[in-house]
Amino acid sequence: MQQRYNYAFFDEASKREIRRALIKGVSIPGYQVPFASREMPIGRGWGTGGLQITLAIIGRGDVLKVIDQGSDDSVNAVNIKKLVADTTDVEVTDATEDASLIQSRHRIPEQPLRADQILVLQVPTPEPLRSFEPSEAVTKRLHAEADYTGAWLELFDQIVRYDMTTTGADHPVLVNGRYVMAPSPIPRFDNLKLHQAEHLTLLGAGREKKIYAVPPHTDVVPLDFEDYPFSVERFDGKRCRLCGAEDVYLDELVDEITGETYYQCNDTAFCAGCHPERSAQRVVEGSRASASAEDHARSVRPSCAGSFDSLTLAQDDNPLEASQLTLRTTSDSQEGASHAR
Amino acid sequence: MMITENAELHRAQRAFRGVLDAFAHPGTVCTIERAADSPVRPAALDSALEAVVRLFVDQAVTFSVVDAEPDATAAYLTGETHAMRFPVREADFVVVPARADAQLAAEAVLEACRGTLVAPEKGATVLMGCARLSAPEEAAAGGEPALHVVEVRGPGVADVNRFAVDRVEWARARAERRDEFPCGVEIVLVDLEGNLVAVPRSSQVTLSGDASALGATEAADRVAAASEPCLAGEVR
Repeated sequence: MQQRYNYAFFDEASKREIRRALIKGVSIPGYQVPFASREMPIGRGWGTGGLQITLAIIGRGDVLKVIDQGSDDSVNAVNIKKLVADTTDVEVTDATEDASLIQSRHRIPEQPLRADQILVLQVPTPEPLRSFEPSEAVTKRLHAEADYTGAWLELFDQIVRYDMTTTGADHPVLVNGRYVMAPSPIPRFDNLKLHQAEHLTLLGAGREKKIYAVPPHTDVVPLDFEDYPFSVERFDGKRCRLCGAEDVYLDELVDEITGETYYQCNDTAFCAGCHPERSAQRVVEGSRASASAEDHARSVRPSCAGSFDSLTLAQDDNPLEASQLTLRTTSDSQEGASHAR
Repeated sequence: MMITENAELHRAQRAFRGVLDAFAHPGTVCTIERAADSPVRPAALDSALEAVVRLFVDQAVTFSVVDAEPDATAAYLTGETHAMRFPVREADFVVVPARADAQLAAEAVLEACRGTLVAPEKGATVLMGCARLSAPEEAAAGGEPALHVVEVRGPGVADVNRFAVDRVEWARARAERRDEFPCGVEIVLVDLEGNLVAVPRSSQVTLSGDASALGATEAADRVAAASEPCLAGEVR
């Protein structure tokens, strides 16, 4: 039997609940607004918070992009795109500049977002004090009192143990001088993109039933110490083997046969040439396959089914089998990349 | 997969995106579509204000109407939204029709719930009708000297956003509240044409060209904001 869904999956009352939380979230930057999180047809912890925000705000005329760890083509991103596209009539795209709505897990696109774009981030653990204090009632009070000892202590503890802060992602930030916020597990590299951004950022945690937001032109300062300034991941002397980009967040890959280590853009759409200004800088060795991937990714696609092959195309060009590639977590040197507050 | 949809649903979605945009850029004028005409709508409630009310008010929240004769409007909204009518101090949404006089509008803003430090999201949202709302350049070009120019600073604002509006008692009342951020109220102004401005609690508000103590303070200066009587919503 053919199931009939309301436009954008939710009933209108559910949308109102999420919309009310969004408005309060934008009005109190960085504050986690509790909301009546809905059951979703995907598992909690797989992006239900971001998905609920996307469904509550999406409408005709929107163009949706969904990325997961920088990739438009990973399973999570593809399935979220499918669900949204099936229950709405929106177009989906890989091109960051074509999207009006970007839902993301773990990354902010390399290409700076515009004022007319909205970024929706999926959040597994919205509470930056959770590892310090397990009780929700207590962390709510700590936020009320702006007592962020726990967040500072955690960073201090890392410095004592390792002589550096070891937050691989989700480095806590102070928003608008008031709330300490978990920016979702984006790399430190992306934290700075939230500061005084042009775009609105909405963060949703479905399992934890929290929505929060960072409005445009809002101060977002990573927590750090004077003698241990915040630093981002660095990729000195490394460049993407496909497009040659140097100033982007790179994945480190290892060829298990030859032991060779090489790097590739984490943001696949950026790498595939969705970014028009970059195409001039592209390294020629990118070859025929990459060029066709670029052409392919440029076109806004009306449906997502069976069309997420730009990454596959790029890999086909490599003589190695994809199964021989190992993705290693990037943990490059972060020394000296202090960031002025 | 089959989708069920109707015009009302899409109108609400567009209106919400307008309001979300207005909250993300406080002090800028956005436009929303007015609600469909209804023969039973009370005279006090215009179609633009009703559209905003319907975006947020349903059986999960409470509302209050502040007007000289609020009962007809409240009864209509209860019937349409199934929301409970509460006293102003306790209501989640405070509806102030455009025809409400300055004193009533000021009282509505003064009395609205501010939330608590633990749950600041419980602070009320004041939905206020007004006769005319526009960008200041339009107001100047249209020769409307009666409009006040309001300046907004804070999160969402690059430097300063200005808008022109026919009523400002809400701004004075908002300053009088002296809420401690993150407590406070959100104010949404909407005129008869569907032009809309949002003033979240995080914004600092001043009246342009107002030499009195209300408008003279540099609102961006938080130290001054804490010590002087000014139109600063964010006092710490």
